[in-house]
Amino acid sequence: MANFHWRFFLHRWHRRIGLVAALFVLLLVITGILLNHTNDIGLDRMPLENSWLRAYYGLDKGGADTGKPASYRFAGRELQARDGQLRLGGIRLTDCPQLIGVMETQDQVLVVCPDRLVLLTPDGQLIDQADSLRGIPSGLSAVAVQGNNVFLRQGKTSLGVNLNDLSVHPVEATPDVAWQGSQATIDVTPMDAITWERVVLDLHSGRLFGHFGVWLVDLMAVGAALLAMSGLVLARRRHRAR
Amino acid sequence: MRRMILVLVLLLAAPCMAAEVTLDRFLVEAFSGKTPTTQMLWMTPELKMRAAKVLDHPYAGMRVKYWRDGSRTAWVIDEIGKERPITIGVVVSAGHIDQVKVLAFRESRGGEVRYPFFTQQFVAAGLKDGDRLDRDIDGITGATLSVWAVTKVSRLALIFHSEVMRNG
Repeated sequence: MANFHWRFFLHRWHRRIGLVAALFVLLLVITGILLNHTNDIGLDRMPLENSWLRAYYGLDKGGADTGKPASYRFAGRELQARDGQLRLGGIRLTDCPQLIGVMETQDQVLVVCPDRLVLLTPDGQLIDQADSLRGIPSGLSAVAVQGNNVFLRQGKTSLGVNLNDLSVHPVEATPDVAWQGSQATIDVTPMDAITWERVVLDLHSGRLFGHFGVWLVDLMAVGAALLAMSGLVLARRRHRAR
Repeated sequence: MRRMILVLVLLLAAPCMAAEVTLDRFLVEAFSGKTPTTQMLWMTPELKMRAAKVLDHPYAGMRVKYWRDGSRTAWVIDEIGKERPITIGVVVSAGHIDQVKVLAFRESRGGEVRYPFFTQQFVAAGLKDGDRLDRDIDGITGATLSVWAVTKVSRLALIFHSEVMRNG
């Protein structure tokens, strides 16, 4: 009788935990499979466009108006720095945390990011780029052109740019140079783009719903463990009864 | 006891072996202290096609910066591993790779490609038919995409080197 009582108890709680945990287990299975094949599906390359999720991750936050162009239009498309990337017409060109300025010459377009120079053709094709590893100082805050000369500002220092190889050198900028950009100190923080892989990861771990979500997933994991154990015991008892 | 000391030495030495190298230092080492001036290789349609075949995507740019001293060239090329670009320096001498160095690794994992045990595999490698390396490169578990990136850049550097030598 005592054995029968325990079996009934286990069976009842096995069913209860199973009912509660079923949906969560299904969610974990689906997100888990997606994460296992994230590269094949391309989840890690799908940028987040959903406005609610972008707001949740703090993207598209307007900063103080520092005079920097949020976007720039040329070649019939919009050039902007978004999610740490420089995009032309929505297509990623390269990394760029902020758009400092854009200078158009007759046959080239120079795009200035805080730690990178990007050279484009007038129709938006990438010619060349140079970053801090290739001698571009970080903290660029403004750009100006005077005749055939392009100048950059880094703090209080003015730099000249050689567009033939995208090298920079210190110069004395003339006072009447019109700077495009900001005089404020720019916090150059590399920002990885948030992709759907991050969303699925946060959903899988429960972090999408903050601490509560994480604890809930932990609880469901414990529930799944209890299901496994009670299931094993019940199966063993049934096998013995036969 | 000896084994413990060896492990300790290796652990202490590991950061030195894996330390990222600056561009200047890479070039100084590549050319024995006499860094040549920068030159540009402009991408012809044929080069673009060969590069795209190696990379599985178009090469990002119309020109490639390089340094040359006689039959020795050095290339610094970015290639994305999983999400972020890896900056890789390749020195080619007489049609074979002399040195591969990871100058900047920005991914969160797969950084084992920076270590000499991996990059040494490319030394003396050349190209065979189809712009493939003339040897197999052993992969690293958990760093597949980084391994592919370094391998692709190595092939690309050899292609660019042959083009420079062909142009004289």
